[in-house]
Amino acid sequence: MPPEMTWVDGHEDRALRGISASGGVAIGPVIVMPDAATDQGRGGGNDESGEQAIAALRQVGLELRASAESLRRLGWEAEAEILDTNRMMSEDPALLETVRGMAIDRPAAAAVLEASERLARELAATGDDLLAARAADVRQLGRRAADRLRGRGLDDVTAGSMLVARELGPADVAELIDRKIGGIALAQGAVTSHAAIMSRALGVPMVVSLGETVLQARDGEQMVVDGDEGVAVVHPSAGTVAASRQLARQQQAQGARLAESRRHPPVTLDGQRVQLLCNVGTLHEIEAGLAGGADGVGLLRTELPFLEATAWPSEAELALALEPLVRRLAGRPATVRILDFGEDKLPPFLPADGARGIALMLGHPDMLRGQLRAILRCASATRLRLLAPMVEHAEQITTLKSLVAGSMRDIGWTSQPVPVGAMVETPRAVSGIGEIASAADFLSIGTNDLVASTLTLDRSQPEAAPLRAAEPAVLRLVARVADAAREASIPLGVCGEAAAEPQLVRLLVGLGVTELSVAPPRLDAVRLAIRSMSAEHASGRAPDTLVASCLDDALAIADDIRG
Amino acid sequence: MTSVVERTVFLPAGVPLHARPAGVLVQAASRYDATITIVAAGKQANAKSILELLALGATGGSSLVISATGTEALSAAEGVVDVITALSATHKET
Repeated sequence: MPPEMTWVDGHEDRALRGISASGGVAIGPVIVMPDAATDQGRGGGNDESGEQAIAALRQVGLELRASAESLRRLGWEAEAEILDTNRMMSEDPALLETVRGMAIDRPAAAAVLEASERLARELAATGDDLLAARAADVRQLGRRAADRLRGRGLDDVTAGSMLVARELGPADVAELIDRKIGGIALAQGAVTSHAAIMSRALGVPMVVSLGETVLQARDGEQMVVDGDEGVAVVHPSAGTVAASRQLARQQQAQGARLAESRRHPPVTLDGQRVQLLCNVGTLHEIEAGLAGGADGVGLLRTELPFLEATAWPSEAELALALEPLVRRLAGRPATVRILDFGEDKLPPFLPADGARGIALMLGHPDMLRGQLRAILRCASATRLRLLAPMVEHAEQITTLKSLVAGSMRDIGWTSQPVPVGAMVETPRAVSGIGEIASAADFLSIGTNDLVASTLTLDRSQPEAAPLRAAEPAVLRLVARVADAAREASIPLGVCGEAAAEPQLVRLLVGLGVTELSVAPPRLDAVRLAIRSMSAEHASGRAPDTLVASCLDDALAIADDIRG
Repeated sequence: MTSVVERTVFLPAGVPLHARPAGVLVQAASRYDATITIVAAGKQANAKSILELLALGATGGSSLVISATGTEALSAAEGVVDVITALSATHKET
């Protein structure tokens, strides 16, 4: 049976069940993204593939030029020259000629990959170590251009389209976001993928793991992506189309109402100001966060570009990834987290030996110091704070502080000393929280891991929902951290997903949390929660949750906290 | 069509034709309206192609034969010779 048959036979309103990766309902015309794997095997180029390949190389060359300029601004002349050399390679007449020749009977992506491979081999064949390193540069150039070509179907993506694909890489998502797609439906994919994280951060409905059937959708036909239910509806009936449109409109209207509050500061009814920040890892999220009225960034994840890295990123690579992000944060709080490798974020160059967070980085002090220098150089125009992930002992903070001081000397830092904070994510950290609070300049509770480790859940399990932070066992830990922060007179933030739940906002502020850092689409709801509560009432009622008998009782108290 | 202008020049000792000197050479060669080839140890490279220049694998002190054709052949050959002689250890890879 040809694959089309199962599709055409499908009745109206055929619902494909998947897993919700990002909430909300969207309806619109399908655009199927060409599959990289099949695209390569298709064979046969055409008149255009040579020009497409060369245009992709030109684009990579422009990116390299921009990166070289960023490095120069930061005073890294030698590293900038390396990128200049790579840019020269992207324009190289021998490479372009080989690409044209290959493209006669190959698709553009294959032509650029094979051409760069051939030239790389010629360099490697010289037997010179330094030239062999340049061979790797040529290969990487080819891969970057090929990645762009594989994402080429994106040119046809219009605002409001439902994107259908087998799987999406982080680079694809970054491009898609610019095109304001309406929804994403993937045959494979995981809730924890970068694509899913970005979709949630930007509020684009997304369903993953729908199975191969979804790939049979045709460009232009209507599809409903229901990110709340984890369903994609193909061939929607007139009734379903109308109902979905209505639901999407209601969600938009509600979003618009919430956005109204952006004109007002995040202050409680009785005048207590809460610092409202956002969690980010990409420039798009920073833009979304600032547009959503965040004062700045409460958690900037630095490890995301390096999860597939085969070696420790160099100081220059770290700076290149960070500089475009922090450039947008001049004059604002920028809480940059030290590389948080380990567990589910383990790049191929690190052994799976259980080390993670700041403990892992302190085991590689030269790398840590390199990252500190990179951060200091890039972020001098921001109100920079450094955040150590997975802190469990006060000594980790004192050691980190001495490395920060050394890095400041290395680069001749003359501004104010940079505050160094600890992320509190485990019961063990809470048990030593008094010492940690005296060593640190601020604390930030990572509720996702704290909930999972306190209740012994796997954080990828659905049971590890943000609201579980209201379990009395978790709230008691939060209260101990809050007491320690108050005692040490340092700010206390929460940057886990619990901070994005309005019920929990009331409890957290009531327990003494002074900063909330949330994903950009949650800013409006959190601001509204702050503006509709009384801090005095909250601090009177919140301690009752510590002796509540269960989650529901604690949430009932949260509901009871009002103006 | 103008005839071929040929020059022979030695890479300065201790300066192999690595990325930085090759980059300098490409920039210089690209200024001329001429086809410029460089032959080293039997291998030939377009002087405007950094990849071909690198693939020569030319070591410091080795001899290079420059051939130029085209409207600016003479100034191109001499310009390239000047650039190569001026390459110094500061252009070495670190």
